[in-house]
Amino acid sequence: MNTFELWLDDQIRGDALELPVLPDVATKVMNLCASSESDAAQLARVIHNDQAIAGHVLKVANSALFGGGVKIVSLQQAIARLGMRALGDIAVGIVVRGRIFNIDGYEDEVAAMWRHSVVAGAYAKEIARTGRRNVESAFLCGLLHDVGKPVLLELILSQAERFELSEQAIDSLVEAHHTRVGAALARSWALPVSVCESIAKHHAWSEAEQAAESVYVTALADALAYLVAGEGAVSEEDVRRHGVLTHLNLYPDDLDELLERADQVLSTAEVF
Amino acid sequence: MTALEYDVLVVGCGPSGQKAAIQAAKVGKKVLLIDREPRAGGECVHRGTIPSKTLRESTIALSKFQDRYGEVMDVDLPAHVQITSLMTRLNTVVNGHQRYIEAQLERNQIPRCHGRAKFLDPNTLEILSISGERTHVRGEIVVIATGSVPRTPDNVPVDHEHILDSDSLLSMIYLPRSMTVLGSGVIASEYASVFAKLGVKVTMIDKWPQPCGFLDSELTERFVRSFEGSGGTFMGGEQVLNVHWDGIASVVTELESGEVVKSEKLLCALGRVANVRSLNLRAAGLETNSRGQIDVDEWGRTAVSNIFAVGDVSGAPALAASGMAEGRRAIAHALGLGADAEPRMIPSGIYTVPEMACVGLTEAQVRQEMGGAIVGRAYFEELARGQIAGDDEGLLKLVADPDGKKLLGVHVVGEGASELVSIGQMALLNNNNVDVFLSSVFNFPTLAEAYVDAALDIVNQRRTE
Repeated sequence: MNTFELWLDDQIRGDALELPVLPDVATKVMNLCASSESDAAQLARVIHNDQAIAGHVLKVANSALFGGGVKIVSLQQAIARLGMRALGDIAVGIVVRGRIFNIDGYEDEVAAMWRHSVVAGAYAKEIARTGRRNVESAFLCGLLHDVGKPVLLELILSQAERFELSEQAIDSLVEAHHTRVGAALARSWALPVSVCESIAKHHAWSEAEQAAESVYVTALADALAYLVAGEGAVSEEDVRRHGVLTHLNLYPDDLDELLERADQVLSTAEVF
Repeated sequence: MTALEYDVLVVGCGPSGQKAAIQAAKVGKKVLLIDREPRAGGECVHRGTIPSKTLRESTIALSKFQDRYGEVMDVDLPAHVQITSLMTRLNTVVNGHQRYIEAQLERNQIPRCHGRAKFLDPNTLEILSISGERTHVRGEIVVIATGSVPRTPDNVPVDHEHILDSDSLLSMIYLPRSMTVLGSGVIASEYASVFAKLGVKVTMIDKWPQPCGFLDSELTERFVRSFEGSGGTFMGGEQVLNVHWDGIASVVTELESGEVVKSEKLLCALGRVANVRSLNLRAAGLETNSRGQIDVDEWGRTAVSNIFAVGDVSGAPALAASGMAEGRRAIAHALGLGADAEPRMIPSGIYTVPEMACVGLTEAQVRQEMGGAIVGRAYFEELARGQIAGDDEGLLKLVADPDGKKLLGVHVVGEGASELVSIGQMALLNNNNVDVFLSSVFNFPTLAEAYVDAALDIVNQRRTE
């Protein structure tokens, strides 16, 4: 380990990492969506207080993916259109994009990370569906699997002068440690176990213990996202030989089906 | 491509395939077991019997805890409790069962091949691996034990997200507020009653007037009463026109009667079909019947002399227990080992809440065949053990001939039904009269004493007539 890695390790073990706090509005939205007592009016009131989310919800509701030709003009109508639970996922996604995937001077890099995350989220749903596994948690697992990357990047930049890190070194550190930092963030945000594990283990999926199925789905979604939107980062042969396919029990024709849905998946990324 | 040679090829590592393979291995045959899943067990272990019964056990335990301590402490289940937290033991149970099966196969030196098999000719299979590699294997005897998969009618668009089948149901991450269950067979009834017990608003819909219509009507009446007592609704005699997700928050089920049912989730449990789609049966000279199953004789042999089909793939009774026997018998017959006659008196166990089980004839069948019947009943709430357990729903029913002597059927509803019925099963197999229970002493306090009470009921009616 180099000096920065030792420092990072020390921070993580000591639970001393300075991590972004999950904005209050996202916590309220998630709690309302999970509650049997809540209704669309309550949710609309919470979202209305945050202009950024409110605007984005309306944009998503009016997108080709969700829209049915009817113009959505109010938050309550948008919530009724999208559904409470789907809105929870979108709200978290919007908040994460705004607060986390947003680093001055690194707009292009972070935009690429975000696009990859959204494509992975969309693919995670399709993988779960193909494997006859539950689809609902898959999107959030895929969407947030690399949330550690922008957080770690920002952390590194804040310490760059102290540790004298080159651009190449920064890239290596982000690749090497984003899962640990992402996992720490997910725990601090009290995200579901499946999401925490997917963030922590999507590169070490064979070590998944809890929520193993979600981790496998996320690992494959990560690979597929690189294949269809990663500009050559991963080849089709790499995906077809991915070790996780055995655990997901996906045969070559299942993978063919998933690849055929690439356009549909990429169009989802545009919405976010 | 050169084919690897075996004495016996078994396709499918569920209960029937395992037993077929082991039977062959035990007499020294070279066996290969092929399955599309990486681990042994089949649907029974991965998505069916074992996981669903584990959920049921957790539900029963929680329900009993609520019944006994609900007045003392708050034991309400929070609405956001995930199903996985109710199946805390699921992975332990499934892994343990898989390890046991794999160890047994290992002990019998049976290699397992992970891949999808299809016939090239009656003796040759091509196995496609996950990585796309193809292997050819040849066997003197081939056993098809590929089981069954959920049936998906054209008007039910299963998406595994809002509209589920029994494969995707148990990966739900939270308890829905409401659920529609299409079907009234065993799987539909089991899941409907378990989720109703967990506080989900369940609506069961089916064309048949009663759930599990093959059971004695007294059992199903008690089941429906209990299901409705848990907040469930049974809509019998209804035909489904259309099912769709409304794109917002509900699955909409439109019925021919004009009724519309909306729910957060829907379970399509309208039967299962034989899992033969990728087998390329035609290359083996086989085809399926009108029900999509493979026709076999009493030994499990198909129309092609070296090919056997066992378990769900060959149709009723489609039980794990009978499938195991079929696997063993098929191989024993194929290898000239002197196979046992087809088992008689196979009991049915339905793991609903409350549990139901039966063996032999129903009251209606006896009345129809013999012009009458004498029926004895024992209610669990009148037994010491029933009172201790707080079981006020249980019933054990003995059906005897019109003379009230010969035992012809045993029907049980209540906790432990599937175990209790075994006592009656043995009596039937031994052609015992009803009086055998009167000359037997059962432990006190037990639910088995119900046999004595029900037998006395018959004897008293015998004296009166």
